[in-house]
Amino acid sequence: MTRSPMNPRRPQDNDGGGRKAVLADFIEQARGVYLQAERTFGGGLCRRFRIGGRLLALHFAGPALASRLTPALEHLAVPADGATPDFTIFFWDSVSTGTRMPPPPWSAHDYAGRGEVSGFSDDRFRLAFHPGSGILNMADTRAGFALYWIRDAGQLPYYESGAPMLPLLNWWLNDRGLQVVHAAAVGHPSGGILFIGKGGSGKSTAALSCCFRGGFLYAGDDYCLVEPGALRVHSLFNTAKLDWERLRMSFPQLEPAVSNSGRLDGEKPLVFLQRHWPRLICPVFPIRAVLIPSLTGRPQTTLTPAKPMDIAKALAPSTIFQLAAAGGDELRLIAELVRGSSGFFLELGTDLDAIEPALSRLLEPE
Amino acid sequence: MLPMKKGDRVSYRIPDSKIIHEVFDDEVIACNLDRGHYYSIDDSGAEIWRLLLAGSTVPEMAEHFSNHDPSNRETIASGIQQFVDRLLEEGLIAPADNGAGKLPAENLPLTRRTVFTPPVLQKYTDMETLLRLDPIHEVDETGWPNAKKQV
Repeated sequence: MTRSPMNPRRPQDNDGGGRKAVLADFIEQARGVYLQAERTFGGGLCRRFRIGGRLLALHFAGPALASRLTPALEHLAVPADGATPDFTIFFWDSVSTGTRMPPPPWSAHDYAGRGEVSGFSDDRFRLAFHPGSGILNMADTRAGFALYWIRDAGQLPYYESGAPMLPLLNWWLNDRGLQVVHAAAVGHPSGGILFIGKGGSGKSTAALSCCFRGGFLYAGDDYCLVEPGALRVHSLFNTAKLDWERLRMSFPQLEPAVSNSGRLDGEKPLVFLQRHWPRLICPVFPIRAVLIPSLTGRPQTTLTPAKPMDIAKALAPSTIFQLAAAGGDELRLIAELVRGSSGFFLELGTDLDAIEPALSRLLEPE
Repeated sequence: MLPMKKGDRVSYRIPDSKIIHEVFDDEVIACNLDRGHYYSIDDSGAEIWRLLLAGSTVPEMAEHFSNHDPSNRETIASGIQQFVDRLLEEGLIAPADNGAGKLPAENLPLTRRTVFTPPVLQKYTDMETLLRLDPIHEVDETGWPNAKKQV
C-alpha cells in the first residue's frame, strides 16, 4: 500500500485533448485485461437484455459479477439469437479472475463528485470511478461498448446489485432519447404513474402499496427509464428496496423473498420481484401522471395539482446529481417529459389500502 | 469581489457546462453541477434570466421594465442589479468577454411579463451530500483507491 497517489503518466492540467487521448488508450489497455480475464474462465458468459426496446449484451469474464448484477435485470432477459446488440458491456473483477488492472492514468486529486474524474470525459469517451464503491465505469459511446471493473466482486455494494450500472445505462440510452430517472413507476399496460422525489419521500411505499395492496403492476420503485418523446416509461430493474421496519409492518408478504436477509444490519432489504412475482411486472406503459409523494401521517390520501416547475424540481436534481457526467442533455430530456406530463402532489395517507383506489382515477381514459 | 458595478454596460453568459438550466413557462430551474446546488427563479427573475441569455445589460433590462412603469425606474434598476449580483455570486452567470453573444437592444426578445416585481433567487442545497466525496487517503500498489469495506 502506498500513500502517493500521483501517477507519472498523468497528463498535465488543462490538457483536455491529452487527457482524452490518455483515456482512449487506457480503455484499450483495460479491454485487453478483460479479454485476459475471460480466457481464465474459458470464454466467459454472455447475457442479453432488452432495455427500452434496445438490445444490450453483457459479457462477464466469470460468474462472480454475473450472479450479483443480473438478478435485477432478469425480467428483461432475452435469448441470444445472433442479433447485433445496440450496446455491449464487459464485466470483470481482478480477484476472481486473477488479473491485474493497469494503474489509473489520473491522480487521486482528479476525483470529483458523482464519481467523475476531472477532464477525462467528453461526448465520446465517458469515465466514472466511485472511490466509495471501487467501481470503475468507462465507455466508448461511439464504438458502442463499455467496461465495468471492480477489484473484488465480493466487495460489490448491495445497492449496486439492486440498481446496477446506472452511469453506463445513462451514457448509452441518453443519446437515444431515453432517460434514466430517479422515480418509481406503477400502472397497467394501458397507462401508469411515476412517483418522483428524493429518497425518503415515499416513492417505494406508494409504488409497493399500489402493487401489493392494490391491483397495479410494477415497473420500478427507485429508478426507471423514461421516453419523453412517446411519454412512456420502461422498467429497468425488478428490485424492491424498502426500510426493514416498513417492509415488515406494511408488506409482510415480501419478507420471505428478501435476498439479503442475513445482512440487514447494514443493508436495506432487497427483493427481486421477478423471482417471486413475475406476473406483477409490466415492462412498459404510457405515463398518465407524475406524482410528487410526501408522507403526512394522516389517514387519507389526497392529490392536488402541481406545476411543471414543481415536477422539474422534484425530478431533475435528484436524478442528475446521482448520475456521473450527467448535465444539459439529461436536463433537456427531463424537461421534455415535464412539459408533456400532468403533475400532482400526492399526500400519502397512512391507510395504504386506500392509495391505489385514490390513484386509479388518474388512469381512467380521458 | 464582483466584476461589475451598477451601471456598467456588461452582458453575461452561462459560464460553462457545469451550469445547466431550463425554462418552464414563467419559471427557470438552474443547477450548479460542481456545487450540488439548484435554483428556481420566477416572475421578473425568469424574465431577467431570458434577457441575460439574450445578451442584455443591466441598463437595457431596466429600460425594458421601466417602459411600463417609468416612475419606478431607479427601484427597478437597483432590483435588477441586486439580482444579477446574486447570480454572479452563485456562479450561475459570468461576464461575457467583449460583449460576446450580445444582441442589439432593438432585437431583445418579446416578453410576456413586463410588470416588475423584485426578483428572488431561490436556492436549494439538499442535494449537496450526493456530491460529497469520501476522502481518499490510501491507494493500493497499482494506484487504485481502496474502496470502503462493505458492512
